[in-house]
Amino acid sequence: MLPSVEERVTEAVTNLRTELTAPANGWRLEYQPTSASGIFYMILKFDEDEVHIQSDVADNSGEFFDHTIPWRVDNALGLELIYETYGVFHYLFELDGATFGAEFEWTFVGKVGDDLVFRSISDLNFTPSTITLTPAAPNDDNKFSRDIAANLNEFVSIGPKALEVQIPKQQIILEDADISVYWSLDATKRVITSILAGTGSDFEDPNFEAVILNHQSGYILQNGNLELLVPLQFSLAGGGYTIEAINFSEFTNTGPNLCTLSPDNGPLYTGQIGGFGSASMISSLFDLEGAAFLPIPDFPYSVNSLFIFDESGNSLTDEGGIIAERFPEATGFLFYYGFESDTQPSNAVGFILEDELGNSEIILREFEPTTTIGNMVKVILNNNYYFSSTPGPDDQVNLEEITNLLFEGGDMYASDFPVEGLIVFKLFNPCNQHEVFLVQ
Amino acid sequence: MIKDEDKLMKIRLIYILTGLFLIFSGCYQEETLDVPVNQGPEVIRNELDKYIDENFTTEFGMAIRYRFVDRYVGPTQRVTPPRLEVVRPMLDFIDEFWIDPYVSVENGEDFFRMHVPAEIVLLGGLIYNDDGTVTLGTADAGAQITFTDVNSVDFDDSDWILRQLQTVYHEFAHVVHQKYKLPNAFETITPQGYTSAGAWFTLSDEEALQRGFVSPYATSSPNEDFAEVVAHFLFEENFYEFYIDTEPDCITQDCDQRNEGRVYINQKLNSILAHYEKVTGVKLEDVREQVQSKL
Repeated sequence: MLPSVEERVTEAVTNLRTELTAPANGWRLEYQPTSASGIFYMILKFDEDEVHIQSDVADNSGEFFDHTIPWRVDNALGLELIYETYGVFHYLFELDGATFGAEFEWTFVGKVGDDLVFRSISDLNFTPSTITLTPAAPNDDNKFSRDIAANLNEFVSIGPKALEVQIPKQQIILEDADISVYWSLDATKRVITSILAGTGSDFEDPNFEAVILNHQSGYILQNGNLELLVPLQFSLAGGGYTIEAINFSEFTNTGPNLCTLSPDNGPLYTGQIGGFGSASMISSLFDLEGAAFLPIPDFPYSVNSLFIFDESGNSLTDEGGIIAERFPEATGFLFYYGFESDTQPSNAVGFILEDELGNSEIILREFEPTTTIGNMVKVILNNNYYFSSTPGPDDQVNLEEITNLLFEGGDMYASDFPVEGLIVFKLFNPCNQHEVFLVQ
Repeated sequence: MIKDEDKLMKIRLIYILTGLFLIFSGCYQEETLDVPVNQGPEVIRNELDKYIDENFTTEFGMAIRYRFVDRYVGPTQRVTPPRLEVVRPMLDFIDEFWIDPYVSVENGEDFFRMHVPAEIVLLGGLIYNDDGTVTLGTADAGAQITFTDVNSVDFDDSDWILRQLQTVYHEFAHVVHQKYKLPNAFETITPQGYTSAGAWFTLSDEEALQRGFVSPYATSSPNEDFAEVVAHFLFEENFYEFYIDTEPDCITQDCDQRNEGRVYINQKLNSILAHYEKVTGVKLEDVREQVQSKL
């Protein structure tokens, strides 16, 4: 006669709990939430009520490097392993409004050799992911490369971020080969999107030769390496290149600052790339689509003045913002870039002002003729002004103040901002991190 | 060369809309008191569990769920449990801002003990719905109240505090109309103002006020209207200024309509205050005084 259902459930739960708590060094887990993401390295050690989780997730100031939360095994659709309070799995689960694809509830699939295999319960619109817990060796915690995870997060602070999730870009300079790779690195999801490879270390060099890459790969951090799950291969200037990993050695804040007005205090990560010798990684604002921000003779670029943001992502038209204070009647921002006109300047920036009766005027400040190099536009303002009608007494001074702020340093970097049915760019100022949207 | 004045007339200023709908509340349409609560792991495993058992479960018959159970939310909702270390501060918040204001007033303790929901669920973050919206707070059938965003607990964050108070006062107000019905003729005060199902979030606060409602969500049904008036009355410091006192010297139609709305809200408030005291013995004005003294 079979034991009762309750007895069998209790036995099954007890058996799984016994398995989970058995390994002396806990379990090693290489957790890949989705096939498109990178891998997070973890060690989990279960005791009767709690699980001690070590991970290489550096976000939230390292909160998830080492934490302990309660766990349980339920019997519902099967034996379910559930992490009961908030930890690293829940943090990953909540990314992108809980659509990233990470999980914290798992159904026990079975034991394969010494490994325990689980399948996710909570995947939404994804193929359920499978995790394998492998008994950890005593020295498995030596494989953590948390310093790399933390250092890569240092690259987050530079780059456009208004109305979008900031994914910082870097330039990887292969010094011996004298080439550079430009990529974006999503340190949260551990995904690298390689954009371009080019000769030398400066895309503003007139002899710059480049190849578009269109390559994306997850990565894992272990043993001091950033390892691409899918190696990056390309040909450039007659040479063939394969990059599988970067072995990082030293991180400093002595790299080039993207603002020409500031000292070199940007992130600089040096290391080695197998087969190519020394490499260094620095911040970049290169954007392939931004290179399409070019002079237009027929129309100025324009945008509602609402879409000019400070370094915190606040609109300058918000209460207390400089546009709200100086030009509360501003309705639009204009960027004349190679504009062909009989009476108006070719290169100028300014506003459309509209009074209470609906009368509009245009006020502009000119900048020196320029063009886009890569995606960089050098805006050197001068003291020539244009007013479509008699200006107010403070209009010129106010315009000078605002444009001095927006274009401080002069180097503006264009990037695209996808909007259906429109061509929208952002101009980012690396000196004060202000951003201007511009609609073509 | 193109004539530039003509071209400039053609400049189109285009707004770029981005963001996320944030939806407050989400009470289910049919609310009764008889729906059984979801069962969770009722075990005492640590000091926190002992504290909960002594101060909430034994004291008030109220289970506090902080360990994750997926049945606490709908199958299309994605949520996380709270951090372990924020549970106790959240319990202190519940004690201070919900339990204490009620039990401190005349007849309040009896009322609270008799009507307290059987289950309080704490969630770490917001409720992410599969249609891309986010729910800030919810309750189920008056028997369960769910606090979201508990991981953000911060007694210095007035926005967080008011959001939590709105949730709990709103949901607790449902108990009264579910057990004792709405005030007499309450639904006839602004019968034309109620919106069709799911349409409330297309209204602005201003439009709701002009219709005689304290919030857009209040327009979704007389029951929600009742709960919203109670909640706003308790937590909103400037309730009378915003919703009752008419603006003098109106010269615009919008102003006139706001004042018309305020007259309706005043009728609703008076009927609720009288009804509440009649059926529960509790004067809501006293509860409001307690709440406001803590904010």
